[in-house]
Amino acid sequence: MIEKEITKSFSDKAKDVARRIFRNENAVLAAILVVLIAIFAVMTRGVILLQEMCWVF
Amino acid sequence: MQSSVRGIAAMGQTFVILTGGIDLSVGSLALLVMGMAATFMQGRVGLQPTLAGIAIMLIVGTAIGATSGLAVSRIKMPALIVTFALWIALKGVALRVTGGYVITNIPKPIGFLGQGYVAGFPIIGIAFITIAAITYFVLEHTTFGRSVYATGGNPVSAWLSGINVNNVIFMAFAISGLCAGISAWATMSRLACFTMAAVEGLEIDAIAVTVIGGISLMGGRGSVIGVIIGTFILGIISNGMNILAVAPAYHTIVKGAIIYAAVAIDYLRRRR
Repeated sequence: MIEKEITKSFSDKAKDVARRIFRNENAVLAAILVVLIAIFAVMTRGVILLQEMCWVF
Repeated sequence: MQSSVRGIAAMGQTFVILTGGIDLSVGSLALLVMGMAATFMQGRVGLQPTLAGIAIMLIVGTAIGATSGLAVSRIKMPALIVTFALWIALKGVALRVTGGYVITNIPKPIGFLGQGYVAGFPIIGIAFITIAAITYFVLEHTTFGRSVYATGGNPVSAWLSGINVNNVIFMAFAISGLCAGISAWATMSRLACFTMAAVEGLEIDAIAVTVIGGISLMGGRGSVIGVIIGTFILGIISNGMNILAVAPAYHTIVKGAIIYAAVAIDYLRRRR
């Protein structure tokens, strides 16, 4: 019973954190940026990563 | 590096859009000041003409931005119309000033900002991050910054609260003009020449980045961090499409679609 409650509260916490992240516009934008980088990295076979890293570093 | 030019222009645009306005003249303004500085520096050598050229770009950029600000804040003309008219007119003035020619023989030191590196970091990237940090500080930690948000959120309430709304709008446009001047400087520095196509579409890119970054076109909402991420998002998309050799027509279609989607999301969120 106690174990179940702990599990439930953990999932609630996880949901709460996810909800907060989703509500935070900048976090959503950062997630979109990461997804875009991943997509273009696959499509360009890593060329874009080299270029962007050159820019960043 | 292209992202930095776009991002710097977007920082100025952020101030204007946060007050509830829009600045369509950014691209033509950058083109004109670039043309003026290139014409002045043409055939000269050394640091002095370079500094004078940079001063021309920054001062004229700020002055023209301030003129838009005066028209919007004092005469109460719509920002869209004022800056649209300037967008058309300034392109013509730039053509008149330069004759439409490519100007290449400008002093070498101008390349410092666009082509220089400090400890492996491109100076233009450092400049963008610095300008973004200043914009963040001004908007989040100064009275003027809070006034910008208040003016865009509800101008009447802001006025009743003792904020000089007209001055805030005037300053926002002047800052946008200054940022356009810095973008012009960065572009000329990167290319080491002037062409009429150098800053083509800068205004659209600046608006796109700002809107993607979550700055509401209705004014009063959004953050600089979002604009920085938006700059990188558009940079990745543009760069990715270039590497994939996507036809230029699709670039504008994608940018248009992104602006459309970002504005739609903003309006849907406001309706809730």
